[in-house]
Amino acid sequence: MAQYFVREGKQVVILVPDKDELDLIEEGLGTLSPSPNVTIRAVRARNSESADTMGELILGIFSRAAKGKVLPWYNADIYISVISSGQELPDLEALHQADPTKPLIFFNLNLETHRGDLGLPAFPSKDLHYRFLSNIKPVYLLRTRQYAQTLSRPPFILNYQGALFRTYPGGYQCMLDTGNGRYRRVETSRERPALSGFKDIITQALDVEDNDTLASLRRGAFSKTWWEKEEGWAKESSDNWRT
Amino acid sequence: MRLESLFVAEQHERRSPDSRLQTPLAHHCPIFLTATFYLYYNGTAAVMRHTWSSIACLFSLLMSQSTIGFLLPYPSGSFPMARPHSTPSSQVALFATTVPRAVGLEAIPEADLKAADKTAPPSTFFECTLQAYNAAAAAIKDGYKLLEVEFPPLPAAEMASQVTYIIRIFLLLSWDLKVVTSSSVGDPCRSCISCNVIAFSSTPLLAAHRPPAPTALAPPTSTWRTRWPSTSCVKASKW
Repeated sequence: MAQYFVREGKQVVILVPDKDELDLIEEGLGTLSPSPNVTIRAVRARNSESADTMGELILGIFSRAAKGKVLPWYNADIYISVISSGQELPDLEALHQADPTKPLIFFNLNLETHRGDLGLPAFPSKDLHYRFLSNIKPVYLLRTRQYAQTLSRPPFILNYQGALFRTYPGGYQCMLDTGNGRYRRVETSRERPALSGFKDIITQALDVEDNDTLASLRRGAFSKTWWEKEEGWAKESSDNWRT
Repeated sequence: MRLESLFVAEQHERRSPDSRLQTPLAHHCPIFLTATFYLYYNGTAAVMRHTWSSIACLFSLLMSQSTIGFLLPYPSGSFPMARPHSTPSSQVALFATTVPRAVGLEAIPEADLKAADKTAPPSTFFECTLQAYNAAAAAIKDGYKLLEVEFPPLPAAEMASQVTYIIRIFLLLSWDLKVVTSSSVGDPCRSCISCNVIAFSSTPLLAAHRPPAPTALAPPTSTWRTRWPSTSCVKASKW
């Protein structure tokens, strides 16, 4: 993907969380510039590299600042962040605040999983979603989900799967896997369906329900995750994450 | 450096969609600037525990900073906003320029939206990356700065086998065509595309992850054999 941007004449910086990850990559690849105009860098530089003064350098040894500072890269046109965990998302937020004009791509970071971790011990607070993660636009989304449905008639258990697919500027397509790697488009919406809503859409497309009461009992109470509930939308700084 | 921190703290407190358009408080109010320096030097003097130094610092501060602070006019909105720092701190915005707002979907023609709605899921990894790039490039063009790209992970071996498969197929084709067109006679299997593909497909690399064979490389039909009569290979004659 970085190569495509390079063809446009852009400088791409691939960001890994910290210097240790960077050392591992350098050890594996043998270089931090895998191709022209593509550079691999750490979001958070080491304290020895980022300290402005001798005092910061010394104090950093005994404090949290030992992990270094988040420094933007002046020659970058586009940042692509990879392999960052939920605990490192605040670093990416700091990077975006320091350099807000450069696009920052969250590449396969599983943000949905990280949202679920917010608020747990040792993880950032849920406010991070309202403050920062809600601004992230899902431009390309291909998420597959596997489900199982119990039936009152043979075969009693039905395994099926679907995919939520979106390419900007298109809408969110709910697709049912029909086998042999083929998908049938079931519904397209401008707004991102909730996880439970996506399951309902896919299940209804199966058209195997024999009793509405039994189906609702099997499905259970309709619930959404905390970041999908409408009550929290007022706290969001943007609705980009669901449009 | 400490003054910068104050600017940042003030910016963080007043963070809003238009906060980048506002000048720092210290630039509006020279008294605030003076007080900041006063506290700074006073604090330093307290650490030094030296009365005379403290008095000297305070005196010089009042004489210089307050005068300069009052004399320097920074009316609202006139201070240059794009102000790169020579030693950038991670907490300070490098260029406090205005970030253009994204256009939103309503600005996109309906026909483009409908066409994008019908995009089919990718069938290969390369198609997947190409679609991801096209989507990201379109969003960047529309002014979005924070983008999410997500697709299911593929095993590294799968990706490697696909890449290697394509490269080797092209190499084999080019080598075979060169041999056949030069009418070289020798080991018949060395000039037989089919045998090379068979030998290649049985390699351990493809044994685990074999992608679908291209239709052009399917076992030859009788028409194909008549077109290439020089093929005297035993394996090919069995087809």
